Amino acid sequence: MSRQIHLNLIHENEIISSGPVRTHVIVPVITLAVSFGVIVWWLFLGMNYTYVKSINARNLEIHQQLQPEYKKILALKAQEKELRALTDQLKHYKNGKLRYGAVLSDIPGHVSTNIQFTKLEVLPPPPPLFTKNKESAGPTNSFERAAFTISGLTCGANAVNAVEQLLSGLKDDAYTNLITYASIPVNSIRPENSAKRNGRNLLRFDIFCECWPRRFE
Amino acid sequence: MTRFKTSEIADSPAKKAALIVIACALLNATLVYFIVLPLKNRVKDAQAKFDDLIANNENIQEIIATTDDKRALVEKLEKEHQKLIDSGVLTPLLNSYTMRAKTLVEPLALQYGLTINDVTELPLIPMRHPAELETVAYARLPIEFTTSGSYTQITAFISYTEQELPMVALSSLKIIPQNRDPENHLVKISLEWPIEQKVPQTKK
Repeated sequence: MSRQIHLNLIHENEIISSGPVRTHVIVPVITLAVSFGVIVWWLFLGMNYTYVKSINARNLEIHQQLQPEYKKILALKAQEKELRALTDQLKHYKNGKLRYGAVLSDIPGHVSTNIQFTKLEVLPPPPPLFTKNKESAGPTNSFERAAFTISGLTCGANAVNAVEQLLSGLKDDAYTNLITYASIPVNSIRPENSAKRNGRNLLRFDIFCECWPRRFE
Repeated sequence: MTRFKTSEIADSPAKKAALIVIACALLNATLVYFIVLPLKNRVKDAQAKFDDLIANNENIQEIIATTDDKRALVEKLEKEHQKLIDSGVLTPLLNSYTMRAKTLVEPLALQYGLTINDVTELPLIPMRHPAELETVAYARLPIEFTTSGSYTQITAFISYTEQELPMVALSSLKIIPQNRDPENHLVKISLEWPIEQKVPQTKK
């Protein structure tokens, strides 16, 4: 004959607890509620994801529809930049133009009868600055030095005065729009040796005129 | 000897509760770790993409709204550019810049009694240009004219050229008197024009 024993699983604290719900009931209920919460969270996220994805698809469609117009305006922008750059280049070139005509026409007014020019030279532009690595860059400087030289012969008692008169004439205010300064380089007034052999007393001179630089800006 | 019935122990409320708690905890952990958190990240990514797309589309629409203004500006710049080109950018005549320059300068020289004896194209001088110009830019092309005449004729010709051809600049000048004919000087005058040239591609 088998004997049955009675296991009392109710603890003492449960018996005396004032709450009507026991721990072995409330804990599983809370756990189930948490599980339910997690599932609701998942469902909520899933719905949210589907919604955002559908809106994104619609926005992407709008984005695609805007592309042809957008490409047109990008092309216009590129064209604008290029045209502006080309126009600026020509404007800068035009701004960098020096006018020699008026000054050169006026110079004979300062030349005494005992002066004869042997050479008048507007110096050619210096070679452009290139860097070895960047062949396409062109010159990096936005200005270019400009100058002209006058070489000549003079004779007579007031030969030096005639050269000085010419030099001061070139320093005249009327030419300041072209010439920044005019000078006689060191030792550039010297006797003409070949003339001396022929019994003539000639002086050779050079005058250097620095002009405003050509500014391509 | 006392023996317990196992079925009675398993059916006990405490054991059931423990089993439910363990099962739910495992389920929760699995759900959160493998499904909910990855989904949350995907929602976050989709939201970020949504924000980007909205901002991008708004930006594009704002830009597109300026199309008419931009088109008007481009037309204005085209006109301005064309005006500058017409004012004296040198274009080749029968593939020759020298020939074009000669046709432009010779009539002016003749007005002052100067005859152009020789025309030579000098090396091209590049102009500084912005990076926007990837294919075409302008460069300076000096062309040397050889002639002879009196100082007055030469300077008057230079003044007239500067006035008549606004894009032409005097690049260099050499007046050399000749002993045989003191009134008639040998002149090498180089005038420069802007010309269009292809931009050399930069070595990468």
